[in-house]
Order: sequence, then structure tokens, then C-alpha cells
Amino acid sequence: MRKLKLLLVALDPAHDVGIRLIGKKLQERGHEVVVLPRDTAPEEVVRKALEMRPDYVLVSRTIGYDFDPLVRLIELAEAAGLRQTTKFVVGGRAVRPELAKELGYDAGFGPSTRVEDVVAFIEGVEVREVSPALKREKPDITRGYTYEIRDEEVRSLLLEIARKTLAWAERRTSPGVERARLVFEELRTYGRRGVDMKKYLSLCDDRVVAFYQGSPEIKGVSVVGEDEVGSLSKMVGAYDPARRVPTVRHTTGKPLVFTQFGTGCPVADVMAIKVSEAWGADGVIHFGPAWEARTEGLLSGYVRYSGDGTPTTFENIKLYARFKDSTTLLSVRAHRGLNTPETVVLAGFAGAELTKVNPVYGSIGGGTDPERLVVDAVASLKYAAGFSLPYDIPTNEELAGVPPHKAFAGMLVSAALGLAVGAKPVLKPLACLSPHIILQGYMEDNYVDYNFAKVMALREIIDAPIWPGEPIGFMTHSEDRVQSSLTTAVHAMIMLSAGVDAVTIASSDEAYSGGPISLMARVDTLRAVKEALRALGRARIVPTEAAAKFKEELKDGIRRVLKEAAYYDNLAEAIYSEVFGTKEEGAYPGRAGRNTVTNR
Amino acid sequence: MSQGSQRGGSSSGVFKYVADAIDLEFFLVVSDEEEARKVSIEIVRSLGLPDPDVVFVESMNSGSRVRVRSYINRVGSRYSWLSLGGGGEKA
Amino acid sequence: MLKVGVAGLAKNTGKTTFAQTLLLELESREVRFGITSIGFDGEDVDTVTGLPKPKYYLPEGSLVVTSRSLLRLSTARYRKIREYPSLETPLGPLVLIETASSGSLPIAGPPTRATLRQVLEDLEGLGARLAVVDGAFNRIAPFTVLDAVAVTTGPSRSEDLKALAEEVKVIEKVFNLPRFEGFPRGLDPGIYLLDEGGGGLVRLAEGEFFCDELPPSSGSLRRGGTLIFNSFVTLRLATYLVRAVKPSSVVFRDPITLVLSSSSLVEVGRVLASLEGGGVRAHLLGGPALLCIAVNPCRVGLNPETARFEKRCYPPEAVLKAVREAVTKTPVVDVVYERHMSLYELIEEALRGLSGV
Repeated sequence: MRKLKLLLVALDPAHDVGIRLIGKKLQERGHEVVVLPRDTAPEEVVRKALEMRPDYVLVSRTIGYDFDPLVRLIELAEAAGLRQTTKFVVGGRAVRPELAKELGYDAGFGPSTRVEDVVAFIEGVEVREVSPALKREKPDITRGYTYEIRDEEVRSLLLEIARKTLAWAERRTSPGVERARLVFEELRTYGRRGVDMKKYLSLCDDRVVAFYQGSPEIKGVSVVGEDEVGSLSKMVGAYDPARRVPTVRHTTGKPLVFTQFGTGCPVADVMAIKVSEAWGADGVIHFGPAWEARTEGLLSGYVRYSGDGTPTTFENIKLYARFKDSTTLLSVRAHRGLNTPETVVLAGFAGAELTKVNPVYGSIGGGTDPERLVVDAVASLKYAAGFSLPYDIPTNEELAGVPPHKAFAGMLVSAALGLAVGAKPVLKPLACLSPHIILQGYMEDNYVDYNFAKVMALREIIDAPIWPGEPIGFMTHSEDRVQSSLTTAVHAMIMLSAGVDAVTIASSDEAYSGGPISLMARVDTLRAVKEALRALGRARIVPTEAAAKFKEELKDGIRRVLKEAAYYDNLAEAIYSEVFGTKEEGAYPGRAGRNTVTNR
Repeated sequence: MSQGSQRGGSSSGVFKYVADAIDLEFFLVVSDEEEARKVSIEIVRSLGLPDPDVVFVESMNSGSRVRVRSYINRVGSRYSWLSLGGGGEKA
Repeated sequence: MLKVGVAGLAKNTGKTTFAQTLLLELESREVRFGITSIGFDGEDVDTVTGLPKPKYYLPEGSLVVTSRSLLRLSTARYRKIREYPSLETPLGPLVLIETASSGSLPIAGPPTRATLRQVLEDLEGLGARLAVVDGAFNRIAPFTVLDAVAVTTGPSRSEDLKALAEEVKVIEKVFNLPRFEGFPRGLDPGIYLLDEGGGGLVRLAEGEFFCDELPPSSGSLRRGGTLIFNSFVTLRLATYLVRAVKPSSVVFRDPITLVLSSSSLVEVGRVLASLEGGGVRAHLLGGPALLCIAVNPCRVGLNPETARFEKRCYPPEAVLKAVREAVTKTPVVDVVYERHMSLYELIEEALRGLSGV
């Protein structure tokens, strides 16, 4: 690479940091660089250029309405006969190509110019350096974790509960399990759904049957046209994968940042995914509509729904898998409802990377009958193991009022069940302002101590990945976009400090209930989190001594609950017996799927 | 846009309650920053709002995040809201 | 081929309007012409003020040099005659086209003297009888290669009509300084002294002078003779040397270099007046003639109240009167207010001057 002579100056009374940074970089690359003082007179710049005969003169100016010094410089440069041997480049906030042309410069750089762009231009090379966005790798959230259960007492309790529950579940089946088996065979054999529907439909609710027969009874459900998918494909296909924020992280490798989507429409979902990716998200989580949890059977095709949540269909999930970046992690939830194993099967064949299973929360907070959900969950976990889909375990019962130690006990049981069948669990404590926390006053002073305590407690019990959500800061958001984005960003800083592996973040529409999440609101929080992580770097927020106290209370509580749960024959019985949450605490064993479990 | 009023102009009618400016926040499905700016200004103009200025725009492959502002009462102009308040007319 | 430039003393003084008017007259007289710009003209909206700008209407058969990337905005059909891949601009490389139908097209052409010269050669080779070069901002430096320059001014330059007139007076004076014949062509840039007493031509200093002092390596200064600035020299340095050398004549390179030698036209006028007062004759080695002064009585300014750019017009007769009273022989035109005036007559006059008639 040729060593060049470069003369730099900010023709600006105040701002010259940019030009100095560029000068420094060019000097580091071995060029001969002279940076004149800020606001040097154009005559003086030309005099110096005549003396030096630089290859390039780089000029910057921030002021956007008075260009006199820039014009004077270019005029004097012409009069001096410099234009044939020296190229003149102008940069600044107000510079656009049209302005640079009108001013008579050879090139112009606008407000979003990076130092690398200027260097590449000067050296006459294409920015061959691979964009950081293209250097992304697909993350593995479970990497490095041994799943060793460090607490002896907890380990023996969990093993016992898991063993008994698995033995119990082996002897049982449900329509959900049967449907999953059929779908698995069909997809394995044909690679698509809908080949032989007879047996499948015999295991579905009437509403689902009606859909497949062409007369949908589920209100708000319609099908997206092929042409829409075609247009979407064209549009997304034209996206430059490098034109995105490479990551919202700064100098740390964690946490991975996830966002949720479920607008009701798969096309809008794809946009939500692309926008989340473009602003730096590592992964996206799909959620379906509430009625799916109460309905035996899933729909098929590019199905949209006019309310919250996009129908879980093989085609919809494949759409997400097809249009997402190859490095983006797609998670499909299967933690509640009557279709959990079938959902995991679809997720596995469609190319998702993660799923979600928790029979405890799914039954006491998610409306599904415990017996049914435990049987289905065991099947779900086996499928998850077979597809190598790590599964996260949400603890949203805490939001109903269940104390976190009980929710965590349930989470650890779900983890143990999965480990026993070869699946990889990811712990998902909430980082929230839950009813129990409010009643006990645990967050009266700060949001730091109790959230730290949760993570610390889990870390001391088991060596497993921890991914708080969905989302972090739950119940701290208001409808104000600034406050909402800020609490998300602050919680990201707290969770990074606590050492978690991933977080799910809200949009700034989190508290708004009037409609689906907007794209601008997604961008808001991704930008806010990026800024927060930039500020924190490798520094850490530190809890007070209260955190250790909370941690010990949590661990004690977890042990107590597990001891109690171990008395029962299986997990479902323990759930019915209010081990993992009482009615007073807001835990209600669900009814959906009651009495649908049969012996094999 | 402005309803009948002695002063007319942008800070009349219901707009007189706007202390200074109206921000519009949105996400545009456009190909680059230039297009985003152009469209944003046009959106403000077509809504009949005065004095558009793009406050923030960030563009990625899927589109642009924009905040565009319309100044109703600029500092140093005659504030439409000065005659309001304290027993004055209510909205 | 007559090469005419339109230079403004400020932005929004009506350069493109003048050029467009001229093109329309050329069209009506079926004169083959080429058009280009050293800046960026004919866009929808001004790059700075955001106000709508006049677009270039081009008749069929116009030769146009513009940036390749702007061709997609052309409403005229055209055929590409020549590409200039090495003439890069911020809007892409240049291209020479001929319109096959009438229409509008933004024009962004060669930004420097050297690239302008190259493009003008091609236009002449294609049979253009006239080349019009639109200016940009208040830039004028590349126009030294042209035959004539129309200078536009108006309240956009200054709302003080007296100050406006003062500047125009200086412009007329500078462009009409007599030509000096006694300096051989092709000499290196520098400051020379022609000794009247038969001592011949001596070079006092070589190069271009953007500082206010001579470099120490300069030769010692004599007295008398003709001081010749075959280079750029700041006005301050020039006056210093005149005081030191006390020549009988001073020669500047060309009117444009003289105009650029100070950021104040009034200062240039003052120096010329004091030279005259001291009995020193001022000359030019060469450079374009002054075609006319064109006036735009409207100004575009920043309204502090609304912080927006707005257009305000002064009474055209008042502006014309003030400017006409300032000049002695230069035609002063307002192509919008006095539509009946023919620019072509000015062109014919200039063409006659070219061919030495």
C-alpha cells in the first residue's frame, strides 16, 4: 500500500475531534499526516498544501448553513493550481453528496461516516474488511455448562422426583402425545404436514377440524396469501445482511439479547424479526395466541390471527426460520397448553434453535391440567433432546403471586426431568417487580439486590445457563417510551453484572395494551440496551449485603419445597397438592385437558 | 389545518395548546437514510404541520427509525399559549 | 466556440435562471450549445435551504455534461456520447450526452478548471457554438478558462443596495483593466519585474503566494518598472510589494485571480483606487471578459423567527437602478423582470470580441 501525504484540518471553530481521529488512524497506517489547528485560515491551508503537496486534503466542518470557509478553500486551491495533484475531501454533519458537489470538492462524507470508511476511500480500496455484522457466529447458550447440581440435598431430591415422575409418565399418554407422534412421523416421512390428516383430526377439537375442512370457526383466523409471502420474500431477500448493528454488546461476550414476537400475522412477525436483528438482537421468541392452549390440535398453513399471538403452524415457523439471519436464534414456546409436544416437533423440523417447557408453571399459571401437562411435558422433553433443542423454563407463576422460591423449585424439577432424558435446560428466573417482592418489600430500595440474589442462588445450586425473561424488568415499565426503554436498559446492566447468559428485553410498547408492538418501539429498547452496555463495559453494578441474605432465603425455600414435593408419587400430584403454589398465592391448577390422560 | 382565528398560521386552532413542538415517531420501510428524510418531511407537510425537521434517523437494511419534529411555537416567536391559562379559555 | 460562465456573488442570485433564459434564446435561434455546471444545478430542492429550485429545461439537441448517476432523473430522452470514468465527483463520474427530446435534468459537471477545460474541448469538437457553464455558491475560480463571465448579484448577496452597487463597480473595474502584452506566455508562476531601463525581465520569486510576505529566498527588490504577478498573490502582499518596488505599472494574472486575492471585493476596489491615485497603472495578463451583470431582486434568507429559509423580493426597478448607476458600460439585466431584453445580443457582442472584430 502506497504511503500517502495527507493534510487534515477542521475548518470549524469548535469541532475537530473527528478529523483528529481520522488523522491518528491514518498515521498509524503509515501515512505522512499533518493536522492543522482548528479553524486555520484557508489561505494558510493552501500555503501548507503548496509546501507539502499532499495527495489528499481532508476538511471538516460541522456548521450546516455557512460554508464560506469551505468555498474559500476550494477557490484558493484552484487558484494555486493544486486541484490536479491533490484531491479535496469535505466531511461533516451537513455534508451530503449534492452539497459536496456544489462546493466543488472531489468527495464528501456525511454524518454517519466511520473512520474506516474515510481510510478505505483514501487508500483506494473497497472496504474489504468483512463487516462485523457478517462475522457473527451462531451462539450456543448452553456451551460450557456441565449441569452439575452442586447442592447435595437438592440433587438427591431432584433425582428422586424426576425418577418417579418419569416412571409415572412412561405408562401414560394423551391426545397431545399421540398427535405429536403422528406429526413427527408425517414430517419425517414427507417433510410437510397435511398428507394424512384423518387420524390427526380424530384427536383434535371440533374447531380445529372445521378449519381443516375449510370452515374456520375460530374467530379472527385467516390465511395469508401466497402472493404476500412472495412479496415478503423479495423484499427481505434484497436486504444487505451487513447493514445491521452487529451486536448490542460492547466489550463482553454476554448476555445474548432476545426479543419476543407474536403480532398475530406471520408477515408482520418477519418484519419484527428483521428489525430486531437489524438493531442487534441475537434471538427472537415466538408466542402463540391464548386459545391455542385450550384447543386440541394445531392449525396449518400461513395462518394469521387478529389478536395477540401468531398461530403456531409448521408453515409459520418455517417462515421465521427461512427469513431470519442464519446466526439468529429462534425459540418456539411449548410450555403450556394442549399442544406442547407437537409444538416441539414442529419447532425441531422447522429449524428453530430453542424451545420452552415448564409443566409446573404451565399448569398452575398457564391454565393446563397438571396431569395432562406433566405427561405431555415428558414427551416434549424427549423430543427436545432428540432435536438437540435447549429448552428454557419460565417462572411466570411468580407474577400471579407465587413466591419465587416455589417457582424456582418447580423450575429445577423441570430441569431435572429434561436432564434425565438427555435434554438441555436453561433456567429462566424472572427479573421483575412481582407481587411477592412488593409485599415483602424486597425492592423498596433497589432493583439490584433481589435480582442478584435469584441468580446467585441458582448458580450455587446448579451449573446451568441462566436467561432471565420474558422480559427483564417485568412490571417496571410504563407507557412512556423513555422510562420504558430506560428500565429495560438498566435491568440489562443489572443482569449483565449478575453474570447471566442471556436476557429477553421488552419493547418500549411493553405497557401499552391497545395494540400489537410497533417496530419503532423495538428499536427503542435495542438502542437503549446497546447504550447501557456501552457505558458499563466490563465494569459491574454491585449489590448490597442484602443480596446474600435474600439468596440464602431463596435456597432454603427451594429445599423446603423440593423436600415436600419428593413425598408425592409424581410431579402432577405435587402440583395438585399445592406444593409449588397455593391458591392464595395465585396458583390455580388448570382445567384445559383435564381427564384426557390415559394409560398406554 | 388552522381553524379560523385572528392570528391564523400554525399556532392557531387546537394547535395553540402545543407549547413548542410536535414530534412524530415512526419506523419507515425505506431503502436508505436519504429516502427516510425525504419521506419524513413529506409526512409532516402532508399532515399540514409546519416547519418540519428530522431530529433523528437511523437506517438499517429493513428500514429506518425516525423522529421528525414540527415546530408550532418557536422560541422568540409570539407564543400562542401566553394568553391561555388562569381563567382564560379552556380547550 | 464561445465559452460563457455564470458566476454568482452569492448563492440564490439567479445563476441558473440566467443560464436557463440564455439556453431558451439559443434554442429559439437554433444555436447548438453545450451546458454544464461546476456545482449541482436543477435539483428539486436546494441543498441548503430546502426550498424548491428551478430545474433545467433542456431542448432537444442539447449537449449536456453531468454526473452519470443523475441521468435516471432525466425526463428527456438522450444518447450517451462520451463517458468520463476518470472524472469522479461526489455524485459519480461525468458523462456527456445529447438530448433526443426536450425535458429536464439536473446538471452536475466538472468541478475544476482542468476538468472543465477537457469537457469544453469535447463540446467544441461536437460542433457547439456556445458552451454555458453554470456556477455554484459564489465560486468563480475555474472560470479562468472561459471567454466571458456573467456575474449575478442581488439582495441575496447584500440587502444594502449601496454596498451591492459598490461591489458591482469593483467587478466592472477589475474585468475591464487593460490587457498587458509585454509578458511572454508559458513562464512559470511567480512574481516578475520588467525593468523599464532595459534590464529585462527578472523573477523576484517563484510559486504561488498565499502568505503576506515574500519567502526569504526572493531576489532583492528594485525600484520602478512593471511589477507582474504571474501567480496568485494575496492583496496584502501585492500592496506591500507595490509600496516597496514603486512600479509604474502592476499586472495581475487575470480578473478572477485578482477578485480572489482578498475576501472583500471592496478591499480590492480600494487598492485599485489607491494605485490609480498613486499614478500606478493596473493591467491583466489575460482572463475572461465580463459579459454582463445579472440581477435577482429576490433574496433567500434565514428567518430567525421561524428558523426557516424564506424568499423575499425587493422592488426590481430599485435594484436595477442602483446597480445600473454603479456601472459605466457593462450591461445590467434582470431576466425575469425585463423579459424583453435579449441576452443573445450580449452573446453576439462577445462573439465579435472573440473573433477580434
